[in-house]
Amino acid sequence: MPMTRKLLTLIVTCMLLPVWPVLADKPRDGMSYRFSFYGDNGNNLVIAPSVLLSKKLTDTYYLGTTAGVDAITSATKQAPKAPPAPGEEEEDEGGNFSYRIPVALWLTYDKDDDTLTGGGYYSYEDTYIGRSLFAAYTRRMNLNNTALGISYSQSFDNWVPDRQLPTDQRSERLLDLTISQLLSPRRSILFTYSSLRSDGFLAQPTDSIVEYTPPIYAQYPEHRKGNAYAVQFITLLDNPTSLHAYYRYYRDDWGIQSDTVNLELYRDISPTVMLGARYRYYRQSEAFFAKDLNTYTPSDTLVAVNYRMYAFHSNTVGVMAIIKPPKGFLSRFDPDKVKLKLSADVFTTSSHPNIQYQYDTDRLTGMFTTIALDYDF
Amino acid sequence: MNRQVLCICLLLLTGLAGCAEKLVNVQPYEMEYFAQDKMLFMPLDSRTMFEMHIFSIREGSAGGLSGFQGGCGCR
Repeated sequence: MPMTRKLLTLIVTCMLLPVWPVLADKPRDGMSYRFSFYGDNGNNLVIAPSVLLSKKLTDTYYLGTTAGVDAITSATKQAPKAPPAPGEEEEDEGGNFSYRIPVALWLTYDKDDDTLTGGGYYSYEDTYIGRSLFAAYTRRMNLNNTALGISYSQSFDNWVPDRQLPTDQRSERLLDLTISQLLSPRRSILFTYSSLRSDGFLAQPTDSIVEYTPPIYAQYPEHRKGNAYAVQFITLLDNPTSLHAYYRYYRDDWGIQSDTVNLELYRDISPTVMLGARYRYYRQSEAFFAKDLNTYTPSDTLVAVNYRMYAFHSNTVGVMAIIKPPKGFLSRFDPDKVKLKLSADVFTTSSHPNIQYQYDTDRLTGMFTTIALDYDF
Repeated sequence: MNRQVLCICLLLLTGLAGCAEKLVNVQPYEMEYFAQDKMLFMPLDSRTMFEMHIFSIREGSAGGLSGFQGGCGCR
């Protein structure tokens, strides 16, 4: 498998990293079996089964772990190649999977109104080593009407590239502050502030303008600071129906600003089935170093190739379902402890010349689905 | 950033300390709806986790949803 393609797979492999929401919920004592799928018209494909276990050890301590297998295949822009010599096989640029196994472990202390979690994450693959530490604290107050949360994660990663990079290191720090508040028996609101900082080699090592010899590789600034401000509002429209409204404003010191709006509607159609639908809109401005690909020269020190550094917008629609086993079905299980969660979403970006350049299509359209079976002990 | 975070924390603590009674809008016996899946901030946590990464890879911004992350070169 060509090294360049392996490196680009990181674009999609990272969607598989574990993320643990830190909200007012109590820690779980149970298991989840998850199967996630992602595919798009840029020939990126991800199949990711995983298992999550969170076990109550004592009245106050919980131990959690996730493990999975990520199978990824992706395609990237290749420099024009000479035809293979007689007797030499041409490398297949698609259809081969690469694999990695991410593992995470964390310990949670939960007593009365306080929850404290700490843990670590490690993953290894041929081209990237990921390590991170994380911690979170949540305090519930005002008769559980208010919850304050703070979470912090720091990664210490290393590229293992097949070309010389200015630095092989990459680190990301995320600090989240949250406050949730019940407004009435039918309404609640959540405010989130996120501070993000990235350092090291932040571009994809494989992003390049291949028409030059040697290619001009993407090169971003080595530091990035961003801030996100979000609010989520939930209201019960009628007894079986709820509406979730979410807005996020983001800006960073690369000049990227974005707005995100997400609307979700959930409805209980029976005591055991809940259905949902969503619409999401996203738009962003471009980074200060983004310019037309054909205007870059080998003397440029900052080069943006990926469309994510440019102005574009995207739309996402999706459907969701949560199904509980009806009483009598699988009677050995408590129906309140078993849930099957299903979702399917389709997104499409606006057209952009850099998408055309990298993926041979004017806009990216993709689908992602999740299937999760949750079982509480 | 540090000053920004400090200001937010101070405002938060001051506000909460000053109006704790006013923030009790829902009595414990009125919380039945908040136990239902459709009233959770993340009814489908597995989807939320997965799409957070998809969007952070497919878009140029991130954050705004509380959660740990790290160990990846996607952004």
